[in-house]
Amino acid sequence: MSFLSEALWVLLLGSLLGLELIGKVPPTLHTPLMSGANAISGITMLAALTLIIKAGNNIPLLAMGAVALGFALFNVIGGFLVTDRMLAMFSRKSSRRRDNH
Amino acid sequence: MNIAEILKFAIDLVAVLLLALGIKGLSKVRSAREANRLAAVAMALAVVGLIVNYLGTTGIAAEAWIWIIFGTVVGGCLGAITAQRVPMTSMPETVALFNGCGGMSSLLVALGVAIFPTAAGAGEAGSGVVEDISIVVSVFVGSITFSGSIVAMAKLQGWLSTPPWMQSRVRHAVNIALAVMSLVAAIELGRHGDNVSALWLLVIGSGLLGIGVTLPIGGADMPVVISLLNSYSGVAAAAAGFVVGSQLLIVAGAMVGAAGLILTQVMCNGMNRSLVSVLFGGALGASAAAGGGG
Repeated sequence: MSFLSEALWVLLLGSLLGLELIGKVPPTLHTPLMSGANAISGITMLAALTLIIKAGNNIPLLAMGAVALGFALFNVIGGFLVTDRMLAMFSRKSSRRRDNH
Repeated sequence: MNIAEILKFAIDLVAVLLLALGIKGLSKVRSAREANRLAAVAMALAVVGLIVNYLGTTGIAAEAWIWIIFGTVVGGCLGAITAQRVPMTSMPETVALFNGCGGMSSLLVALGVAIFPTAAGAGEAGSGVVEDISIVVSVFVGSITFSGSIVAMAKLQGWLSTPPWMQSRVRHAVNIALAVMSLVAAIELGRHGDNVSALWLLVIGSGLLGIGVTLPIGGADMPVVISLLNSYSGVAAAAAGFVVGSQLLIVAGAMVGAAGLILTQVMCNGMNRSLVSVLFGGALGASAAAGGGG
C-alpha cells in the first residue's frame, strides 16, 4: 500500500510538473521538442531492463525482455540523435546568419 | 537500505531533475541543443543507477547480461543507423516510428509480466489489483501508441491511403465497437488477471482501435496526432513504471505525457484547429472548421 500511495503522489506531481514545463514554444521548435520528449518516453527501457534482470532462467521471458529493450533503445538512441540532427541544422543556420551581419 | 540503494536513489533524483530541465530547455531556441544532450545524459544516468542498484542487492546473472547486451546492441545500432540515414524532410514520420517502438516496448514489458507473473516478480507494486490495473493500462495505451504511430508513419510516407469507408460515419461505429471490445477485455482482466485470452483480446482490440482512430486523419493534421501519440507513449511508460515498481519511470512518463499534451494543444492552436476536430472530424471536420474559421 505504501508503494501505491507514494506512486500516486509521484504520478500527480510529475503530471503537474509536465503541464508547467512548456509554456510558449516557438513553432520552429515543435518538431524537435516532440522528438526530444519522444526520446525521453523511451525511458521504459528501465522497465525492460528490470524485466530481464528479474527473469531468472525463464528463456521466453528473457527473450521478450530483450526485444522490449531493443525497441526502447531504438526509440531512445534514434530519438536523441535525430533531435540533435534537427537542432544542429537549426544552429548552423542561425550562426551563418550571424556571420553575414 | 544499503549503499547501492542509496546511490540509486540519489542518481534517480538527479536524473529526474536533469530530465525536467531538458524538457524545459528544449522549448527555447537558444538552449535546445544543450537541453537535448542533458536529457540524453539523464537517461544514461538512470540506466547506471538501475544497474548499480541490482549489482549491489540481488546481483545480475550472466545470462541476463547476455540478453541485455544483445538487446542493447541490436536496438541501439538500428536506432543510430536510422537516425543518420533518414532525410531531413521526413522528420515527422521518423518521430512516429520511434514513438511506436517506445509504445511497443511498454506493451511487451506489461505482456511479459502478465504472462509470466511468478517469474517477473515485480512484486513491489504489492497487491494483485494494482498490478492488474497497471498491466491493463500499459497494454491498452502501448498497443494504441504502436499501431497508431505505424499508421501515421505509413500515411506520411504515402504507403497507405485512407479507404473511402473510413471517411464515412461508419468508422465511428467501428471504433466504438473496438473500444467496447477493449473495455470488456480490460474488465475481464481486472477480475481474473491470469486470463490469457482476455489479454490477447485487449491487445488486438486496442491495436485495431489505434489504426481506426489514426487512419481517417488527413496528412496535414498528422504532426498533431503524432504529438498526441507521443503523449500516450509517456502514459504507457508511466503505467509500465507501476507494473515494475519504479518511481523514476512513473515521474518521467507522467512528465512526458503531460508535456506532450500541452505541446499537442500548442500545435493545434498554431494551426487554428481544435483537438476534437483533428481527432474526430476527418475530412468532414476540416471543411466544417474551415467554414467556421473563415
